[in-house]
Amino acid sequence: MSSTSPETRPALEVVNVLKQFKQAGRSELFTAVNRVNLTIAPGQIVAMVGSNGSGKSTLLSMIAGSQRPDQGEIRVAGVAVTDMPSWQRTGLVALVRQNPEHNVFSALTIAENFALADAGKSKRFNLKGAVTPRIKDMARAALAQFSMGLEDRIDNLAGNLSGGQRQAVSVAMATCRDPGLLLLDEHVSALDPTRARVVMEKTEEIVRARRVATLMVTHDMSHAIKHSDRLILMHRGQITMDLGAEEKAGLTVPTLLRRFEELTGESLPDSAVLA
Amino acid sequence: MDITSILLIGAQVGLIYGPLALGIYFALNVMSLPDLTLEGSFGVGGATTAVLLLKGCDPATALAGGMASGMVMGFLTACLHVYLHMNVLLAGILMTTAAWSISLAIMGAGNISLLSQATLFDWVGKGFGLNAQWSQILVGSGFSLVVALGLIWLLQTNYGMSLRAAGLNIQTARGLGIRTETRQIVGLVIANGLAAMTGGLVVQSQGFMDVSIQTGVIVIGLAALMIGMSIFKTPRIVPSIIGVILGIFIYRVVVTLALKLGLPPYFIKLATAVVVFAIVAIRSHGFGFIAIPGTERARKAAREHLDYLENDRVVNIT
Repeated sequence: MSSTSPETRPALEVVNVLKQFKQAGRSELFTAVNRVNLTIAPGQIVAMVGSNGSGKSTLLSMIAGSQRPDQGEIRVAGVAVTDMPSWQRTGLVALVRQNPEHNVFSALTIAENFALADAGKSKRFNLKGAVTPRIKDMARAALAQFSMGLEDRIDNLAGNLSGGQRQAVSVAMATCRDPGLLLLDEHVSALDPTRARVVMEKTEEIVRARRVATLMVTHDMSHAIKHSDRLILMHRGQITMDLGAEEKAGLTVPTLLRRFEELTGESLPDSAVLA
Repeated sequence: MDITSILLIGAQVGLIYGPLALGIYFALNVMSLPDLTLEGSFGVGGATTAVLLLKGCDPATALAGGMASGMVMGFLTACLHVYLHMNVLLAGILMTTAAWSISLAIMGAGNISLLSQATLFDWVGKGFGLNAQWSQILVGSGFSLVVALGLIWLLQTNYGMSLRAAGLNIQTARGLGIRTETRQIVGLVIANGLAAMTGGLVVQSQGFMDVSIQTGVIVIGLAALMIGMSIFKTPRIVPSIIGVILGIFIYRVVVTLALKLGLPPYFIKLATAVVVFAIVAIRSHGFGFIAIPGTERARKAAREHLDYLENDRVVNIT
């Protein structure tokens, strides 16, 4: 641990990270992430776009801990997490996945899901009752931010909620742990456009209020432009474009798509173009 | 036919199997680990209990020793899964096969008579002035109740919640800071300890230990689990556990009834399997599979059947 305060350390440092996979029936390896360097400042919201197979998900998996890089180093809030199992990173990284089934336990109540998130934050899986009045208050407060009426349903099974409601619960659970870095892996792409907009706006509001650094993968270019401080583009395992707040200002979806085509010679699938 | 006597026999023979049924519920339902070692642990638990009784231990200590031997079996199965990356089903099959030899090695003979040893049932019978049937009902219901309450308590704690999470989705659980491999080890240790507890109780209640008692015993627990899960269809803990205890009782009442109606004893295992088939059929099809062809219900059943076939997945356990 360094002596600098958490506020001044970068929320994320990805240094020269390489990840290759064996391909069935071929001798040469497929390079999913090709010596990527990426630094995210505390409190910064970074949107990451790129076509399928560009390496976004692999990079996210390595930061979250479900995969390990072949080379390079990953630090979250100054802590080297490169070879740390995912369950040890809970205080540092929180991940919200695309599929609501993978973020909350349908067979548990909302309050029980929050109890797990809270116990996991401090790794205190002890023999005390899990759902306490404190947990219920915390769950109600975290869910009230979404104004979906979820705070009145905390004793319901999470399986009874709609996809959008479950993603709202997931974001509330991930942010109430105050992680050093929040990872959003297309967390609204399975929702209908209206729900997606509501959950996305509330997510940004909460993340800004709590000053949680965020790396957000999205296929929706308008979300990527509107709800971020910085926009990066991945292509063939590398970051090919990195736009800060000034460069991003005034950027429109058509300009972004055109710039992508100029850079890569390929077109970018954008869910918003179809909408 | 006297319905009271059938219910009493059901409680007398069935409730001793309560811990085993709850162990199977815990492994299969809560932890999602299809662990067949439970059958082997039942035998090893019985063998250890019998030998400890012969060596002069009191019945409670002997039962605790039996439980400990089952917990070791569960620990070994979990280690095969966690460290050798072996499928739990395969590990369980191997451990159950090994358990046969382990039981014989512990016993030093194929069977042991315990007729001159005092058992828990003698203690309770003398202590409360009860006959054999009532002392078996009291011991069986006592153990089932304590184990049921213990599991209900455990699964509502922070640690118990992390066990449930590890049995629901490993990736999500790890993302929440749960070291899932230790939860799988603890889960199998608890489940196999409960199976061995029933093994020890059965040996004490019948007054002898035979190495063959383990054969097919998991099916009894499966029957109870299936019946129990069909009573309250919910993932919530309290109704599920009550359901499993009711399930073991209902199963034994049905078996007693079948025997009274003249079913030969060697048909019990076949009858048990048929009961499980019937429950699974009703759970997955409702009564659609006996619907009249051409009706809306039959068409719905056909659609659901096709959905099942289209979404079927192979599981390679090697």
